[in-house]
Amino acid sequence: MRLVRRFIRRTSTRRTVALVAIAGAATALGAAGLTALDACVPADTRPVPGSLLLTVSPSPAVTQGVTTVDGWNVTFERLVVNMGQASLGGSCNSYSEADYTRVLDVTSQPGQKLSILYGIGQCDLRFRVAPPTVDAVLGENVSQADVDTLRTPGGDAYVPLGGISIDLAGAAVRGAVTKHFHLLFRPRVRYGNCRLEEDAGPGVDLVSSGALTYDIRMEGEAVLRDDVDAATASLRFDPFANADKDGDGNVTLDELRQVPIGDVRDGGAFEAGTYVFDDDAGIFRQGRAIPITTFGDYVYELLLPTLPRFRDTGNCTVGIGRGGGGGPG
Amino acid sequence: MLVACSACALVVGLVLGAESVAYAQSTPSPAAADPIKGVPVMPPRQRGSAEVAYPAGATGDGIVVLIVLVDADGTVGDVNAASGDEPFAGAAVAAARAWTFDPATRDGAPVAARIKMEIVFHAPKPVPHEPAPAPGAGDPSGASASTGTGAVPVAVDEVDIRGLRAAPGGTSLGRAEVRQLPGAFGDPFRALDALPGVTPIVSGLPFFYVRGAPPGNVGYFLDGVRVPYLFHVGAGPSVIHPGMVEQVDLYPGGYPARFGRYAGGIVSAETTTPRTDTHGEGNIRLFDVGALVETGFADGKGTALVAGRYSYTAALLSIIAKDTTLDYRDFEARVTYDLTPDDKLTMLSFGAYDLVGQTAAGIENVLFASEFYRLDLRWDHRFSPRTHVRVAFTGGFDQSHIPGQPRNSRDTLGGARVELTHQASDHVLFRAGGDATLDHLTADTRPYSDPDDPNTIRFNSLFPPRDDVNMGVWADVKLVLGPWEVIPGARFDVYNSGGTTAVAVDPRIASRLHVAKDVHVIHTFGLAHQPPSFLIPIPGLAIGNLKGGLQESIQSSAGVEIDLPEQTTATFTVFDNIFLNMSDTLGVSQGGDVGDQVFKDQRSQGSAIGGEVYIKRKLTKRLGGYLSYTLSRSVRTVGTERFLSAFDRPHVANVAAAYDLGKLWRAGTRFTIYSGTPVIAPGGGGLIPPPRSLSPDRDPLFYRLDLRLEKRWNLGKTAWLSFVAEMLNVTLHKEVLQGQTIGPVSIPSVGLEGAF
Repeated sequence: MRLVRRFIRRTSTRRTVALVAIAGAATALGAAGLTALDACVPADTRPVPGSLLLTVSPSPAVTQGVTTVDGWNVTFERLVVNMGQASLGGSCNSYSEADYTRVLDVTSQPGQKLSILYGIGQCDLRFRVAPPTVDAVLGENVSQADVDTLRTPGGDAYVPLGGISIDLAGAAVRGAVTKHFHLLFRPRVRYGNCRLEEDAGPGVDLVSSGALTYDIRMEGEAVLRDDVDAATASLRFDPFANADKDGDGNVTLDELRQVPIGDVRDGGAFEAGTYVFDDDAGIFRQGRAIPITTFGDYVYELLLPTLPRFRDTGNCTVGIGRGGGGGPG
Repeated sequence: MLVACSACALVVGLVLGAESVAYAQSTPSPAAADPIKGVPVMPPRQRGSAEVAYPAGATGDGIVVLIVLVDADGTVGDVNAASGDEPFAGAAVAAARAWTFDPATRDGAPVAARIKMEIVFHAPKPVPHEPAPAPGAGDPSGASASTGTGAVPVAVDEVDIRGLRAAPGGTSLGRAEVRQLPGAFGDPFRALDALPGVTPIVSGLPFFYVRGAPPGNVGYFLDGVRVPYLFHVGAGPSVIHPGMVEQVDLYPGGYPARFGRYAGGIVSAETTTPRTDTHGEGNIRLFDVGALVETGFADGKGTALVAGRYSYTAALLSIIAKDTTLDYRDFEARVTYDLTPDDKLTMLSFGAYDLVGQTAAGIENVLFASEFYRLDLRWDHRFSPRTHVRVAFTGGFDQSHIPGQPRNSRDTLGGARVELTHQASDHVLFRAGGDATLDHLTADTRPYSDPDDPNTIRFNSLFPPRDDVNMGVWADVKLVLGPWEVIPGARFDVYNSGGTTAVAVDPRIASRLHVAKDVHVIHTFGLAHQPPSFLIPIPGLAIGNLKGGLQESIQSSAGVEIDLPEQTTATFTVFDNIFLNMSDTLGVSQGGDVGDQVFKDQRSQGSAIGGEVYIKRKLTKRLGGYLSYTLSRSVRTVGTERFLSAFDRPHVANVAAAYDLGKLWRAGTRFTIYSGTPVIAPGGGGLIPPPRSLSPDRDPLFYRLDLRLEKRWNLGKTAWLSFVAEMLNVTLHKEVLQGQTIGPVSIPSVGLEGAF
């Protein structure tokens, strides 16, 4: 208090006025300077982008069932898939990526939202199918328990440790015989370069302020094909039924792996060998060659990645990661 | 008998203790009032003889003017020849390095000071031949007659009194010394990663852990003004022109009570003392150009300084990478005016801007951009030589373009602070203060985004628009009880963010005990609180609403400082930090998916223990160097899971050496080596991640070599020009971080520096 009193006595009016004046002028100058400088970080001056709404729908076979050429009536009871991390690549200008996945019960309804993307130009569409992370968004009729199921640790001959990317279950009836199948697929699959025709340009053409809606059709029946080319393949369930060696009516992946590919080869179907790139097939595969020696290999390695179909008839380049990854590879 | 030439120069050092600013004493006087602290200052006085041998091979007379930095311990910290020809200049500089002084003092406490000294060399005069004396008779030494003469005093027009050394537990870096540190590019802030207790995240990048505290928990201050970040983007230089920085203090823990609201470390820089003589410096390098000019006005009552840096990387990149834009710049300005001998006004303004962009399909996309500006108005008043008060007001604006969102986030801020210093007696120094800050934070709505994107939802939750108001008061007492100096203190802070309030009390204590000749024992202990922080400091971005509560750290250390021969000091320190409710997204990240966790506010408990060794001989000596080594262990706990921090590095070592090659050539090298980070298994295919270990495998260790070479020319009485070639990581060594190979991060720099 004594110091304060001394200060008040010693400060003259003129000095005080000078202090205040200098401080005020400097403050005003500084404030003006700050205001003038406020705009160095640019605002968004880019043109308004176009939007792409990606949806996911079941194929007619998934919703209505399908009859195979060998007489089985197949219905799909469950097709749950975790997919997403959609993005626009290539030479286009991507304004945003949907860096998350969504767990979808594909059988529940068509046209479920996967994500919205924004960009301008001719774009390469990319997305992934993989086990869900803790951040996965729940789709229609999907519960947290469903997500927890997909996140349950497990492994198979192809993925030593991983969650579940696709949970596919159904039944097949022929006459008095009924077989059930429940297949859990665990790989992380990257899809890119999606297009309607093999030689076509980038599959997405976004113009400013335009709005596109593209659907990805999930074809559960893909695992029943006898050829990777959907256009020429037939649907067969006999190899599945015959794999049920213990006769319990449940067909498992392990049972499929016990069937040598030669046992199911049928004059051109289920061709064995090493698949690297099949000009005639509807898929474009990246990476290493994959040996196919069992029927299980054929279903898991070749047919499973063909479940998603871009705009019903298109295809995408496929890259597969195996196990251990936090999310898609 | 030959008469040895012992012609010598009589050194005349005129040290005038006048402070040429603030208190406007145009006539030098032995003691003057320090313009900043308002307490008496005594200049340094040379001890012993200051003779300099006439250099071999020289002819004629010579005059050399030296600028000598006398450190608080009386040794010569740096010496440069402001004028003079070779070989006289080199001889004078070499001799001056060995001189010792009674250091300058500020109110009895030793402080560093820069002085100007003139050395006059007189050519030896031939001595007539004399017959050899008879054996046993006469003076056997054959001493010659001295030809030394007195010298003409040269009025010294400035004495630069530096700030006090760092409080116990802190480490100071002076600019003169940092200029010689390879890999620092003359930047005091860049030299921080060479200090013990500092663990880099990635070599060359400006973010580091300090005794286990993450980057977001380290506070940066310039003259008490909060600085949002230290370095420009793209491994660029610091955002403050090094010519404005006199010294940088690093407090890795137990910092003084005047520093608050940070629970990790404190980096506190002091600007240079204002000068009324017109002087400046500049540099031009591969990537940027910088300059600083200062002068006096109003008959020495005022000073004005402007400085800045501008990068032309954009122009260079347009040649080699047309689609990429990299741009940075900064400015600094300072005006001081002495209203009266007891009143000084200062206006300090500084700011920086950074931009990284990429053009695709004819559209420029801003990948990252950031800017900040500060205006600090300060009034220093001296009640008496022992009592001083500072009242300051600060305004500022921060803005960043957030990558991955993308959107702009802003902080318009203002604050006021008061600091009172009262030297009650020779043994008791009271300090107290208070401050209040207001941050008005806003963020753009993310345009063109998927509303279901969890990252967008998290961002909106973590960084809501709001006003943050923080207030604090602090006090400490410096007691000097014989050989024991102890500083107990405390601060009390009130935090308010978006309507949520929290209160914190932070006791602090530090002591330095002189136990034996040249041996001091140092202890620090302190409690520190901080609002939740983002993983790295980004202007305009602060977690809001005190979400998750305050962070808390308990910091303690004990060490020994020893003055060794050959002007070498050694410090051995052990530390133990405990972190509670800590925001450390980096430290608890789970292998390869840091990007997914950037906007998660994941709290953890933590601890860091270790030991530090710091042995130093000033790099400005003819042969100077240092060894810095930290052995530490940093652990985190989330729930019941206890594991090593993702950036735990048990061993971090730096070894540096600088050598004066003569003829104004100087070379230096620095070798850095540190342990790799723990290998953390990524979550298994989207599963609940596997438990993290206290004994995981590690990435390979990393090492790098930095080199520096300088050649200086003296131009006239005070001007000089240097060519400097410097490179960080000449070995182009790559680093492996969390299984990913990075780099090589190598920064070459070739350019010219000069001053007048």
